[in-house]
Amino acid sequence: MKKLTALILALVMLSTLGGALAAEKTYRIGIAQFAVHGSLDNCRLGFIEGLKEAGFEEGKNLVIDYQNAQADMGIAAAIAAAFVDTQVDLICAIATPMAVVSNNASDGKIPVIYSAVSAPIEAGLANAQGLGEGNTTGTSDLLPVKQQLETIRAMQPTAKVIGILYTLGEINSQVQLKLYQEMAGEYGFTVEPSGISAGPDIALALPALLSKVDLLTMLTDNTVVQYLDTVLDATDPAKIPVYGSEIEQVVRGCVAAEGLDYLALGRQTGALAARVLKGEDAASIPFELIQESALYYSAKACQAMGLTLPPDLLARGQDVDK
Amino acid sequence: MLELQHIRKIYNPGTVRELCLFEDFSLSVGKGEFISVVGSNGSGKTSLLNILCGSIPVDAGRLVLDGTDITRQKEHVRARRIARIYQNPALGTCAKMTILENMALADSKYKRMNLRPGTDKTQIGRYRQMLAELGLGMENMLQARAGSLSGGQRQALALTMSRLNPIDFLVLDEHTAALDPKAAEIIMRLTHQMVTEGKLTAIMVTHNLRFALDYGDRLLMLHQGQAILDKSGPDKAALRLEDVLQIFNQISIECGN
Amino acid sequence: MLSSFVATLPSTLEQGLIYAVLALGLMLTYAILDFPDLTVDGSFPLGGAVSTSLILAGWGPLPALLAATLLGALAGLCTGLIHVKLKVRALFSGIIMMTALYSINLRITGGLSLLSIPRSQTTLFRNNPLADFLPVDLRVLVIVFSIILLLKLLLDGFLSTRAGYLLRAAGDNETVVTSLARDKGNVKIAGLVLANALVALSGAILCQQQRMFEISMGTGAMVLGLASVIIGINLFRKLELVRTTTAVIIGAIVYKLCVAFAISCGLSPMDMKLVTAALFLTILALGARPRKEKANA
Repeated sequence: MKKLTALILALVMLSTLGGALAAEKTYRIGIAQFAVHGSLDNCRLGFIEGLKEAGFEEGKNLVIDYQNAQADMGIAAAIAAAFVDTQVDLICAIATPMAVVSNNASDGKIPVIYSAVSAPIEAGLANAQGLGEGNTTGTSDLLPVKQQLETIRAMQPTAKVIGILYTLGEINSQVQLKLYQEMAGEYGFTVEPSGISAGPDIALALPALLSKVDLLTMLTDNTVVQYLDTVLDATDPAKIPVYGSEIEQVVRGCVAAEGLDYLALGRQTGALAARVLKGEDAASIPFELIQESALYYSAKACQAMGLTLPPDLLARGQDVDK
Repeated sequence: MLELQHIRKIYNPGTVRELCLFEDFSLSVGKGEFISVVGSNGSGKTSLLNILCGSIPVDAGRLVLDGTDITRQKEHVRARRIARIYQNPALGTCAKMTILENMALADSKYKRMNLRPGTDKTQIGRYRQMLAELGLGMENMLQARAGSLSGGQRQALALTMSRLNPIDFLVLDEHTAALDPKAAEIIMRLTHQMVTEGKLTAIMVTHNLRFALDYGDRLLMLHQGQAILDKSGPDKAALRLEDVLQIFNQISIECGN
Repeated sequence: MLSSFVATLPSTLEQGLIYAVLALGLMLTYAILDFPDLTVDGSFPLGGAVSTSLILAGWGPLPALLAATLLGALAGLCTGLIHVKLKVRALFSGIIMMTALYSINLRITGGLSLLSIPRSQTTLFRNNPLADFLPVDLRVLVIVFSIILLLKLLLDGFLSTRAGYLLRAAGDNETVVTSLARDKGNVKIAGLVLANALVALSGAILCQQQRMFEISMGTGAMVLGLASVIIGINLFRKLELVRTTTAVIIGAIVYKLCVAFAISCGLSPMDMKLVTAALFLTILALGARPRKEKANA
């Protein structure tokens, strides 16, 4: 009986001690993700990790409410409104539609940290200097186009025409395509774009496209990425190499990619969010692009295409098949 | 008043089911006549009405109403002068609208369908009175939805709705067939009253030989697209049910009905 | 959980009232005209595209709304003509227009899938005398409530005019329309024009409130509108005194309440749509008790 009482007393003391420790502020963050999608999911996981690395950990001083709009604008608006109305400390908005809706719903009241937004300036989230339009900042998954073009040139010294599939009307793709078109000339390339309206159109567009190009490069266009296997089914027999935009695509069969690691992008975003939680003004932090692109290649795919990597790329890059 | 001239109508031409309903059918209806049309199934009685009202086109021939050639006129244009009461009581009224609204709607037939109030409050008394004459109690149910009425009541409402507008021609398409005997009697009485008071020209298709004999001043019996019996005035009055029935059974047996 | 749901009530009410305009349009086609109109999936974003593009080009909010409404009416006219003159089935006429409108909407936005209205621009809800006069929290609610009230009164008035009766008859019993010596096709076209005008207006208002247009906003608009109409009609089936317009507006609000509730439920985000569906089912089940109809002869 005495032992039991002692045990109970000890537990009570411990809990009050725990309570005293937990008197520290608990932050509430709402993560609003636009759709269920591999890259976006990685972004979110990276974000949580990034926060943890900066001292904000779930279960300790952080509560996360994760909501997914499942690509429905109406639900996206409702989620944004919910986060604003319940006065979370910070909203993390993943993907452009969610970011814009959250920023507008918040109207400055709550900091909105966005991620996986390819073109923040065009989307109205940042001004020309990169600073937030409103209480917002974030990271952009704009493609490292320059590095990609350099790598392609290094791997294929004589290639001339780059083919690019993209979804018509997709603002992110348009921005990325324009970048390619602007920079391709410096590396001795021309770009052959092919616009589609929906995934099934890709199979129909490929024959015409492939007859004109030496290789393909991928944007972060959701639809085209989803249908990558369809693309590869056509390019592999035609011995046309496809360069990806992220590591996942190289795993699926692209020869190489100056890649976006969405986990890393997420971590970068988490670090930004931590700075804002600690007191910095979001609008004063210019949005960030991915710091470094990492080179991923598939030795298998390269061999099938008859391509070899020059030594400096081999040294820098990472073989996904290993 | 109304003339059908050399009407030809073939159903499903050029197919296995090709049926020549009317080869060279002509009919002349005088002003103020009330014709009863009887005949076996497939004799063409309903098709005759459809051709008359414009719901089906003819292959050859002319339709002339009061001197105007209406052969090419669309159904809703003909409806300006021809009113039709259907066998299915549901077809004559709007189920989701109230009795009052139905009456008001019908009352607007010759008026512009503009933004003036749908129901003219000053006319409610008049509607009530017309409905009271039916003897069905509907004058006290103005706010009831037409869909909640019995078949007989709906048919009576449809008739009253046509009474609201001066029409030249009344087409009755087996309009008592779907009603119970009592309701059928009431509707026939109303029809008769309406036709005689309004001095309307009417053509009534019915399968009820007794009604055909008791009402109207002309009897037409159709068989395979041809009139095999056509009695008017005193000749019609002299007809007896047994005679008509005999002819009717004869042709029915012929067709295997 | 419940407290977070309560906190979101004002926003949910706002959204419900905006989408109520969409629901009113669908009430006209589905409930009154008995026409399953898929044009809506195209005319809803059409309104948004037109209104947003015009605002970005410097137009005032009201002219932008008007332009959006007129173009919506035009879309409805096309659907009507396709159905009546070309004799295409109702459902497919809507599909044809909805498909065509996708490209048209993209053309209107200059090929962009997303348009953003800067905070400094004048919209119905910002930077105009009325908006600046109202307290910030009530701004959207008051303006949107006034709009829906006005629309409701206009519609109620219209439905009790001769033209309104004719429209109701067309959906109730086409034969009666013909016997009134009116062309039922023309009446249907008029109904589609009016309905899609409302739908486009709804899209325009939404985009001005959200300060953004997104190309996919039309997907599922018909479903959303229909759900609102059916929920509303079902909820008030027993109460004859509640007009259909009121019922439908409340239906739209209830729909949004269900979505908000599902979000605040705290269940897995993946299950949110399942929860929403379960809520609809519950509401419909509550309203569905067999009515005693008078026996017909």
